[in-house]
Amino acid sequence: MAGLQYLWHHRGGRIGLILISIVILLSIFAPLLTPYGPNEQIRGNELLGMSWTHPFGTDFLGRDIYTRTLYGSRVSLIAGALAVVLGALLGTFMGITAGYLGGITDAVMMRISDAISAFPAILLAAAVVAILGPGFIQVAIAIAIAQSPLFARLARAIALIERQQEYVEAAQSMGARSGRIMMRHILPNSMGPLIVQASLSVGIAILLEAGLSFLGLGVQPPTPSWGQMLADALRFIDIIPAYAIFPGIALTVVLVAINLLADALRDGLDPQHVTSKRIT
Amino acid sequence: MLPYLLNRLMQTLVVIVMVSVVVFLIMHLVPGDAVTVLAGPDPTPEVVAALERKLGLDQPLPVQYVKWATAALQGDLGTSHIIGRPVEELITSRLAATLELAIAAILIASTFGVFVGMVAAQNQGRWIDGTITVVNSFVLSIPNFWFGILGILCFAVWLGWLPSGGRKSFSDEPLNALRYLVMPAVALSLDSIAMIARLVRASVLDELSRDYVTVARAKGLGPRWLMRHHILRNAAIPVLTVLGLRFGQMLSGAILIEAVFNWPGLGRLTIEAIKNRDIVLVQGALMYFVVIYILVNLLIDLSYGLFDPRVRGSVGGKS
Repeated sequence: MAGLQYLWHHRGGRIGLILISIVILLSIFAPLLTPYGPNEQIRGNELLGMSWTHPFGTDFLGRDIYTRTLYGSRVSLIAGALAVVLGALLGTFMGITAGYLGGITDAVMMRISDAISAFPAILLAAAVVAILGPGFIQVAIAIAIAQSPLFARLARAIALIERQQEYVEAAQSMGARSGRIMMRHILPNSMGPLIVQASLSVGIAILLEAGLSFLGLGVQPPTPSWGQMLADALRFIDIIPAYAIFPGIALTVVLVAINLLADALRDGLDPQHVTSKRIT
Repeated sequence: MLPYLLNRLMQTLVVIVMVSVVVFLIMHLVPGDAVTVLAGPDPTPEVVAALERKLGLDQPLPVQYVKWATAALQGDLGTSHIIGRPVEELITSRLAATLELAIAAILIASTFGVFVGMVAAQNQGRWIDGTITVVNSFVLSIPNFWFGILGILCFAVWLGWLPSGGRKSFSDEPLNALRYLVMPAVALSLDSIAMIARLVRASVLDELSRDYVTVARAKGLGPRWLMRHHILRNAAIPVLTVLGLRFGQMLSGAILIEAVFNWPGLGRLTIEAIKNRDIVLVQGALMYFVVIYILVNLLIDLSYGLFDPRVRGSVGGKS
């Protein structure tokens, strides 16, 4: 609650919070906000322009674009959040283990992390999708792998500092095992920066999901996803321009909201950032 | 300088070797390998075994890796089983298009980014600075590929000024080639313009508050000379770093922009290869992307020395 209160009192944070709340509510109550189903095809209604019955028009299969844009938010939000949670878990595990244990574990984990981060994210995610096959969960896992080095490096840096602290020494002298020290002591102390990193990563994850779906490697039809809708829109751009506009606006609004929230969180949770702002 | 150079080269080599291992393993994890493709439907175990022997897939993984890496070092990345042409040839035929796009985008991003950032810094606190800051934040949230689609809608569909996609060669028809290049390059550079402008603004403001600027002003140096020869030179290092990083990101961003504008580059080739499960080609393309990205970053790192004599003098470490 304190976090929400803080975000509400931060100008950018408040705008982000309002925007993202609206998008979440629209995605939850989508069935109440439209008479059509997301995959409902109406024969003879293909590629219609904007009208009262179809505010954003219809696509090449006669599906209501407004309805599909509403439902598309579910894919974006859930895939983005899931990818970041998985990426944070994987990266944090790698980073804390590497930083706390040091030696060969550190060297191996960090070289793996270096190799992963040398790939352009969308390319790595596309390659992982090639292994796992396209689909919702597969895309989330692919994005999670591409994002894990960010968390690994951050968690390692924190673990390296924390393992020198007296409370870790005390826990060691009382016979606590490495696993317990990492989970019960070092991890809680790393949460602040990791949450900031996670908030920054959600936007990137949503963008990656949209990109993969645009390329035909993400969420598969008929499930509505903004990226895939934009790919379809490009084919019919001279017939129905609205198709190319609204899913893009929806995607941009979500990204603006998440970036505003991430900036606000960084101001609040990352003392270094606030200090550096004060100095410059 | 020499120990620093050697140290950076060693680090780069280690990362390239690690990446080659990852790329090699990715190929072996993909279901449906070359044998499945070549053997056709319902192959007998004998046919599969013979093909595996022919392709060297019956050997232990480390042996296969060493063979592949040795051949790759000699410029032989194998033959695409789907297209039936050497991977090297396929990649080099597309690489020029991607590099052309990325270089055009980085030129646009650095020119406009530095200009906008300088304007913002010189007008600090005025409405123009505020407007630039707000527009920058918004631009950073717009997906490049959607901006490209909007560009097609405005300039190709509605106004008919520019072609909606494709590429023309600069050597054959330079002006026409420019018309084809401008929209994808601008779309690709959009977020980089905002990012570089933001950074230039912060760096210039930081430099403006330093003592040497006060001294230079007191000695009667004109504002233009001061900006060009002192402030921009000092503000260049962080901007160079970001340009290097952006160039790498542009190569990956180009994958989406190439798809939007039907640009016949390496990105489209890679995505088509992934969709067709053309594993040998995917492997080669991945290696090309990553090695270019790593080498660009190495060059950027080494070029710090041109701008900052402290880096030139430092032994073994980055300053």
